[in-house]
Amino acid sequence: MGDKPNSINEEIKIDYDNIDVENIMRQIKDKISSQPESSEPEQPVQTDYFSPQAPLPPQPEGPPGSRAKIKKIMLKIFKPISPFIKFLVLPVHQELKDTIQNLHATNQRIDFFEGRVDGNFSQVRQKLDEVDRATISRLEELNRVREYTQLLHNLSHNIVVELTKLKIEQENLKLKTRIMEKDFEFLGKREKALEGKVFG
Amino acid sequence: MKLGFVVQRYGLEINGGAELHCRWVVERLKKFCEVEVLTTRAYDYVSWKNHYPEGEEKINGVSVRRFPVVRTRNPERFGRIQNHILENEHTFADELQWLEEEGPLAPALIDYIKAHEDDFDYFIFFSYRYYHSYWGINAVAKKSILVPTAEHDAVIHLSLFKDLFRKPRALIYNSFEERNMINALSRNHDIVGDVVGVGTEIPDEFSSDDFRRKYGIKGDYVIYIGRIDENKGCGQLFEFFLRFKREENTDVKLVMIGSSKLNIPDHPDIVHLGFLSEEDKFAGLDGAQVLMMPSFYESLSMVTLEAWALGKPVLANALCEVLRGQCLRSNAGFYYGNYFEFRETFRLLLSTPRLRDAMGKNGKNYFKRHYTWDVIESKYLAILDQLEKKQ
Repeated sequence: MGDKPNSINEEIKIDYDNIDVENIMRQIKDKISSQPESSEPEQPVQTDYFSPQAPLPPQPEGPPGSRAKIKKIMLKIFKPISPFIKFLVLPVHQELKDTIQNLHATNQRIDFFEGRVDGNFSQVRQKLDEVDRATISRLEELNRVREYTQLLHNLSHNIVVELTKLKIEQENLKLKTRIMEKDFEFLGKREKALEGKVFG
Repeated sequence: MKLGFVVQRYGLEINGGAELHCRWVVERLKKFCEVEVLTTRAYDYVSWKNHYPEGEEKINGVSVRRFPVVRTRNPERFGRIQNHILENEHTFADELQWLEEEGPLAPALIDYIKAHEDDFDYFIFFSYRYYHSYWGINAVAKKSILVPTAEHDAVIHLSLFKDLFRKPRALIYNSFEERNMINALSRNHDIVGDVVGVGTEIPDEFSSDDFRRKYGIKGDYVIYIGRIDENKGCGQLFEFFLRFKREENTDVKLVMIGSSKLNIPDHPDIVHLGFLSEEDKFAGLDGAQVLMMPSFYESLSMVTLEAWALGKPVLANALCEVLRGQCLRSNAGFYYGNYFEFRETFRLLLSTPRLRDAMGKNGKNYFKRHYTWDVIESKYLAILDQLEKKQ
C-alpha cells in the first residue's frame, strides 16, 4: 500500500521527525467525535422519536402530483377487481419496494446503533475506571480507619490491664500498711511494757 | 551471592508468560551470581499435574530443583470458590482456600525454602497470585523479592494480596502501570522497587521472504502473535478486521500465529498458521506492516517488545492500560477503544509507510533504551546492590 493521499492523512497533522502518539490520537478522536455518524448516509430530517444521528425509516414517496391523481382515479375505477390487480402487478412490486426500503432503513439504523454502542463502550469503561479509583481510595480510607480503630482498641486494652495491675498493687500496699500499723501498735505496747519494767 | 528463583513452572517447553520471563532472567543473571531454580513438577498450568521428574536437573547450565504438586486443580471447584470470593462477602479463610485451589499446591517447595533459608541470599518469586509466592514470601519475607507480573484482574483486590505486596524486601515491576496499581492497592511505596520488565532473544537468522514462500503469503499483511483466545481480544479483532475489510477497499491480510481456542472466521484474508518456531515467528513479524495486540489484560506483552525490537509499529487495545502506556511512552504504537478508533488508526498506519517507519524507529530506540539485556541485568543488579547496602 503506497503513501497515497486520503482524507485522514490530509486531516491529521503528523510531524514525522518527532512522532507524538498522544497528539495524533487526540486528532483522531476529535475527528471521530466530530463525525459520529461518519459511516452512515446522511439523514437530514429529525423527529422526536429517533435520535438526531439515527437514520430514519423511509418516508412515503414523492408529493401528490398528476401521476398520483391518475393513480388514485384508476384505483377507484378498478376497485372491484383491485385484489386481483394487487396480487398480479403493480402493488406487489410497490410492496416489495417498500419492504426492501424498510429493511434497508432498519439495517442502517441497526448499524448506527451498533456504532453508538461501540462508541459508548469506552465511555462506560472510563466511568467504571473512575468508580474503581474512587472505590480504591474509599477502601484505603476505610483501611486507615480500621487500623486506627484497632490501635485504639489495643490502647484501651493495655490501659485496662495496667489499671488492673495498679489496683492489685494498691490492695497489696493497703494490706502491707495495715500489717505495719498492727506491728507499730504492737511495738508501741511492747515499748511501754519494757519501759514499765525498766523504770517501774 | 546465591539467588533462588521460585516459579510455578519451569522448562524449555514453556514458551511464554512469567515462566519464560523467569527462565530468561535466570539464564542472564547466572554470570553474576550463583543461581538455583525452585519449582514444581507441573507443566500444565490448568491442572498442575506432575509431569517433570522430581529432584534436581540442569537446564541450560542452571540447577533446577522440582517439588511435587500434591493435589491437581479441580477447575469446577476452583471456579465455584473463585466466584464466591469475587461476588460475595467472604472471610480471610475463604481467600486462603481459594489460594490453595489456585495452586500449584506444593508444600514441599515451601518447606525446602524455609529449611534452606540460610543457603540463599535472596529468593526471587515470580507471579504474585500463586501458592508458591504467597507462602514462600511469608516464610522468608526478609530475603524475598517479588516479580508480581500483575494484570488488572479482579483477584488482585483480595485482602490476601494487599498484605503480600507489603512483605517482600523489593518488588520488580513490569511496567509503570503495574507499579501504580500495586502501590495504590497496598500503599507499599516505601518498599524498594523498580520498573524492569524483560528483554527478548532474537534469533540470529530469519528471512521474511522465506516466511512468505514457506506459508504462501502474498501481499501486505498485519500479524497477531500469541494465544488465540477471547480473553486476548481476538474475537473483537476478527470482528473489527472484517468490518474494516467490508468498509475499505484494501487487500491487507491478517496473519495469526499461535494455538487457537477460538473459532477463526473462514475468510480468505485471515490466515491462521498455528504455533511456529521462533525463527518463523520473527520472520513473520519482520515481514508484517503492523503488529496487532488486541489483548485486554497484559502485564508487559513480550511480543510487543519484540515488534519494537524489529522496528514494527503496534496497534493495541486501549482498554489495556499497560499497552496504552507503552504506546504513549514509546511513540511507537496506536491504540483503539472502539471500532471507529480502530478503523482510523489502522487506516492511517496502512496508508502511510513513512509513519510506520518513523514509529518503528521510535520502537527500536525505546527497546534499546529500556529492554536490552544489558539494561535489564543492570537494573536487577542495582536492586540487589541497594538491598545489600540497606542491610
